[in-house]
Amino acid sequence: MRLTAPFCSWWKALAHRRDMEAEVEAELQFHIERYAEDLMRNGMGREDALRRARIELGSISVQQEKNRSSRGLRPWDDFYADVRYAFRQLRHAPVFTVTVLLVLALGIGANAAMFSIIDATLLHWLPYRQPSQLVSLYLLDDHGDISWAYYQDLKEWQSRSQRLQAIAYYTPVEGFLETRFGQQEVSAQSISANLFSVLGVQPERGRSFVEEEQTPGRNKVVILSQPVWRLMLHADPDVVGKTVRLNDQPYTVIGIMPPGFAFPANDRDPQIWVPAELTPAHQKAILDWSAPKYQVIGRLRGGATPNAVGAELSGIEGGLVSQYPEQMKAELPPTRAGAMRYRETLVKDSRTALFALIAAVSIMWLIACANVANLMLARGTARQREIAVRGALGASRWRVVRQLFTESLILSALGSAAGLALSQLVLGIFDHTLRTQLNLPGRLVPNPAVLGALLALTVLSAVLFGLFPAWLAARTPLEQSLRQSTTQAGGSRTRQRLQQAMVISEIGLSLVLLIACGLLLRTVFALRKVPLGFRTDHVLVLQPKLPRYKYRNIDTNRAIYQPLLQRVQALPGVSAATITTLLPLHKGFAAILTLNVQTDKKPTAPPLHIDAQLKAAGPELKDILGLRMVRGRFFSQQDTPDSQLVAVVNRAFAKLYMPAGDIMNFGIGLGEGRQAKIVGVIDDFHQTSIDQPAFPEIDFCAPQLRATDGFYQPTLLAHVEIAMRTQTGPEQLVPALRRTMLEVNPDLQAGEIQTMEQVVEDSMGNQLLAAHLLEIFAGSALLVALAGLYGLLAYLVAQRTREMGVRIALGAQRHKIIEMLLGQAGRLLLSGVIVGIVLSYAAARLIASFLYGVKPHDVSNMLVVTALLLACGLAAAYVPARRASRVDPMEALRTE
Amino acid sequence: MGKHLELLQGTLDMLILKAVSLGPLHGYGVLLRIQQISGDQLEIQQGSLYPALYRLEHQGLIASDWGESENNRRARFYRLTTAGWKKLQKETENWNRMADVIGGILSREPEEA
Repeated sequence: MRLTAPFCSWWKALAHRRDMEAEVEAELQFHIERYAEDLMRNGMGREDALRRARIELGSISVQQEKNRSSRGLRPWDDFYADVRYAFRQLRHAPVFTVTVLLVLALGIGANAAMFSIIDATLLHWLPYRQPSQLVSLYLLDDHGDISWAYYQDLKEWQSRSQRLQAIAYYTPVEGFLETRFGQQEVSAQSISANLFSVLGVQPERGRSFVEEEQTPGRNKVVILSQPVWRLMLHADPDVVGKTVRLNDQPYTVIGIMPPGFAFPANDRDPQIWVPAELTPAHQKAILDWSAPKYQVIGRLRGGATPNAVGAELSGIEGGLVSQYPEQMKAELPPTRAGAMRYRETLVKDSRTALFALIAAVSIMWLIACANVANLMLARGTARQREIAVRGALGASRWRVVRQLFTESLILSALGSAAGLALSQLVLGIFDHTLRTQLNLPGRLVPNPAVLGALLALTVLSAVLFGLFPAWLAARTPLEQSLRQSTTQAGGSRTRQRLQQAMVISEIGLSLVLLIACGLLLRTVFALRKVPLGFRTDHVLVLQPKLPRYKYRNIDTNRAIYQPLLQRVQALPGVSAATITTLLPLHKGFAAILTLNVQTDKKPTAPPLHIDAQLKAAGPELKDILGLRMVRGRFFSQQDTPDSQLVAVVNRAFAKLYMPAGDIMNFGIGLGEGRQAKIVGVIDDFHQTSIDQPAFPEIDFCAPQLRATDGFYQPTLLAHVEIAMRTQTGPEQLVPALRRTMLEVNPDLQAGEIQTMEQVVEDSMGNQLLAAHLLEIFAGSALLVALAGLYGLLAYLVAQRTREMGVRIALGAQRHKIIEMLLGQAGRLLLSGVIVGIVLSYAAARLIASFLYGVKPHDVSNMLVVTALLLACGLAAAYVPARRASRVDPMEALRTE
Repeated sequence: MGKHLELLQGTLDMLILKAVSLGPLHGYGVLLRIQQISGDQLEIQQGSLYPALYRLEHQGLIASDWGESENNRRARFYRLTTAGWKKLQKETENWNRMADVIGGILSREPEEA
């Protein structure tokens, strides 16, 4: 009760101000009348009595004021008055207000966009209990490449690790769920029974898996995510216990996970989970290549770090390698284990990009604040008289600072609102790129955390650009500014110094962004210029996606892809088409073959170790991609299933093979006495990414391979794409292709069709995104900095109108005046450039990992960008300088 | 009116609480009641009465309702809340102790010191 009373009273005073004032007035009126009546009873005249009563009580408006301050409303009322006054002031200076708002919208908007991105990536909210304890565990090979763990490995980790509370494992499996709308693809994970308890999340309905459900025969149970339950099974309340058809097999639903739960966390598709079946293959004591592998997640014991866990598991792993069979031991490099926080695995590819962008938006923001601070300083000078008058009327210095700071806060808040709108616009424009590069959950909408950060930034901005100018404005001695006229009032020395410092830092910071942007543009340019080694024009790529469970025991190559290929080859507009298991720059399936080649020279020498990508393709591939031969020939139509088996390698392979003799003599066995002969060497091209050199590769001729050949399974059976050369624009063929796919087999409809150019573009995604964003940041920063420079000079010129008038009247040459002012601008620009170059040395390190074909401290880039900045700066300075030179001396002197 | 005593700093709130504890009163009534009890010895600045009433109301020690005055006019009546009762009790105790202590000090004769 003691606590609620003040709030009721505040509420009444704020929300029903008029009612409260009317009540107070009525109460006081009653008091006056009663008192007057008492006075009249003592013989006083009515008029006198009323006057006496009023005087003793004091004026009603004073009493009203006292009423409000009794209720502790004084600070609020002052603030309210300040806000109203500030709005009036801002309305009277529309140019100033709009300029400030634009600059702030740019500076804060970029940050608002970045907040949303950071929130969705680096700070990714994970729907698990104490997610910071969760670590991903994996095997590391001698190149530092990550691979999943064998079941035997993770069992050992589970039983022997002291630093982990528990370990769970999972692996993606195929999921086609029978729903009312037919079969729908879902993202399915096959998981260990304890996964959900390791994550610390239990199903909202039903139960979690039990260990027995990992045994064959008992494993036909499934747990649904909310999206699957709601969207695909129309939120059937009794679904737990019912049977659903998954991959054409009956599964019993045993649970539904709570809303918002997803695992893996970066998977945006509707998810379901089934128990990982433990077959005899899992229990086998001896490992072989086909032993089941899993992704592993563990929960740290309190205080343990991922590094410590990695070291511990590596120790355990070292003992395990001795259990590997001899052949695996020879070929498997010494195995280590690693651990990384689960959250970090989600963003490990984009971390550097994000930090670079955070730096860029922070710089943007600093520039914007410096610019606004400058405008505030200039305005403070213009308002000296107003402030002096307020001081003379009794406003304390603190009160004046508070009032000016309120103005800053309002500007900052309005700028933030505009910035928020702007950020939504920018995020909308980059929606596609952001989603593909950063794997974001659909459209980013500002949430309370982002808005809170934005609010903090708003206040911080106001402090940064508003507090010091306000303090400076309030400090000016009264009588001095009252005596001076406004036009004459020059800024104090401190103020001018400060303004110059602001402009210099703005120029410096923009130069940093411009240099970074220049470097990234050069990188993109260099990447585009890299000879890819293959043609991208008029090439269309078709990536079929068949539900595997339906075709498990069917040779899809023979049954579907060959007929599809024949139909595609017959399509009008297609000049050539082929099957290939691997296309350049495609992030698809890649089989790696490890060869141990005995060198001819010394039988005792260790065998040559070659890792090569394995590929099968038709003879048409050479013409479609325009591949060049270094030696020999590519496949031809004469290479039929009955002729000699042939293969080609790339130059990188041939180079590695060199110590063993002539590559053309190399033969590779396919089992059953079949031996393939190398007939040619193709020139290297960029298979994996543009900034990576070619990887050794060995290709077989697709039409020659038989289903019984050892290499059939990892190539044609595993993954097939169709590449074709078109006569017209490749996009025009897409509808006809889709029709053909549907006609050959309706299951082909999920297939993806892309132009080769698109594939190349996508592979440059990181650099392109960073370059585009930096173009925007650097462009706006340059604009803001130039506006700042222009503003300062224009302001100085306006201040010195009289001086210019006198100079001209005394015979100064007009071009001399231009020179003088440009010289002043030039000094500011040069100082800024020096600051910028120093800063950019540090900044270049941040983006070094993105650069390709250009050095972080590239001099020519720096010179070009600096020249650009200087030219723009002088152009911005020329306008006010020219105006100054045109001052009419009569006018200038008469303004007083 | 020279015989009037000036009110001690900070005692107005306590007197108001006491006055309304004897029954609901309007603002002018509070003034009259205090003067009446004190035997016209205390003078209260009229200008400071209402801010004090509002402050006490804000603190939840008194509450107000509109009602009919003795000559049938609308007036705001103040009454003591439960919190106000407690406050009054505490303040009275404090005052009495303080008065005893101060009185004790002031009545000390020179030879006793």
